[in-house]
Amino acid sequence: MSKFKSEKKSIGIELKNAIMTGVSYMLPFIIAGAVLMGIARIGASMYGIDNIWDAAHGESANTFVRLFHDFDGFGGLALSFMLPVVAGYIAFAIANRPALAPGMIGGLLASNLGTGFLGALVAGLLAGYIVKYLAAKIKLPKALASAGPIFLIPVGGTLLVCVIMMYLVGGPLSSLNSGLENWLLAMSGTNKIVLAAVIGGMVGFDLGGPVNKAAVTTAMALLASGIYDPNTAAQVAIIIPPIGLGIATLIWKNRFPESLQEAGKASTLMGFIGVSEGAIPFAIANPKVIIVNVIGSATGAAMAVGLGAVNKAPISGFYGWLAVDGWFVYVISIAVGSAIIALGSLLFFTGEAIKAPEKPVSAAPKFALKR
Amino acid sequence: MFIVCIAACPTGVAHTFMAAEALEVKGKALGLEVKVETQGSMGADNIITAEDLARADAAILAADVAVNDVERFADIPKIECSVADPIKHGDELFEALIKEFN
Repeated sequence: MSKFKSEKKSIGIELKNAIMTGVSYMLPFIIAGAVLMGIARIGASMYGIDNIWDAAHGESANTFVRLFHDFDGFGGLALSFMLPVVAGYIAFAIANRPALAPGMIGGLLASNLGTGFLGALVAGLLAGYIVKYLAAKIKLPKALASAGPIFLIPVGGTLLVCVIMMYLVGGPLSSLNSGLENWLLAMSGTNKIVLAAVIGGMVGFDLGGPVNKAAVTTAMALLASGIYDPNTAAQVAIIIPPIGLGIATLIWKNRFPESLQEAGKASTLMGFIGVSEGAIPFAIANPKVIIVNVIGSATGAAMAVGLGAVNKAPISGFYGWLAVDGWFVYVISIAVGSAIIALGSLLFFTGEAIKAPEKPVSAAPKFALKR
Repeated sequence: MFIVCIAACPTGVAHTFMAAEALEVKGKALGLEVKVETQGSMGADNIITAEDLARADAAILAADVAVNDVERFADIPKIECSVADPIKHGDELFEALIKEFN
């Protein structure tokens, strides 16, 4: 066993994993917050109210209006945890438990400084690497060893993160963030639709692979800064390929080999609950179908955003559809994108036996055993 | 041979469990004993214990997020890879692992 290599995880992968960890822990907060607010707003709209967050509705004579006002408040409370949680768990991924507190506090500061997701990202990374450094450098005599994790690291780590955020990077990050926000928010008409189409196409391209994740993660990150169009585009695009391909197998069963008929049922179901990966068996069986996936996802995404649907939650499954502003055009856009894919897939699945692909869709990475 | 594995993905509902299944199926086909701990959105399941680790020969950590309690695997030969790798490249993954032991 002399061949065991000791390779260090590349910094790129470490950063990517850290950010994904942060986003992963942040998701339930956004979902809870966005859906509660969605319920409050749909409920309020039945009473003709479009500003349920206004304090005046808290005093309303109507019990339901008061209730919806409170629901909106609960949702807002959940959303206020977004930046602290994402920063905390980015730090946690880098330096484990001791980094959690400095990361979360840095994230809250980022939130207060108006630096948005960018600031939280920086705060999390700072906290992670500061704590990692402190943990490696601080050598205490055995009798005092427990003072490190329970006193020095939380206090020192937090202080360092806050000082750097507040006096060094806070200002520039906050201007960068508001510049980015203004640019994206000012996007209108054609630009907005092109952006949505690009995001949609990226999401449909590799179904949960790196291109898809890059687009989805960026969209979710912008969500934390209150920019909803990229998220709307991504959430529409996620479910279009599995639904489109799945439905094609249900309608034109004979066009597809037997194994894909089975996969099609699963794919339809996975599509409705918001899992892109259901479409993978089709892309493996005939990679050309990826072209159709990209076109269908891009069209659906561009249509939803262009027609003014706004999805504020990182949810693509059907249970999130009603909470979308403009849910009707949103669902129609999904239907149109899926129809494009269902019909387009028939170009490539003609009912003739498809030869098994000679090699996997992508080359296998090098797997190295380390100790 | 006994392989302990972790599967963890950012959302913790789909890839985690697809990877776990792929690891179990591929491992079984190769006549290996495999135990996969899934760290999904409902927390850890089928947790790898100290006893498991004591008799494990190697570990596969298939994760796109930070693995909880990763220190457990400090003293065991391991392959770290993306959560998608066991699903897409399971054969190559086990090949690389077994090669080192023959």
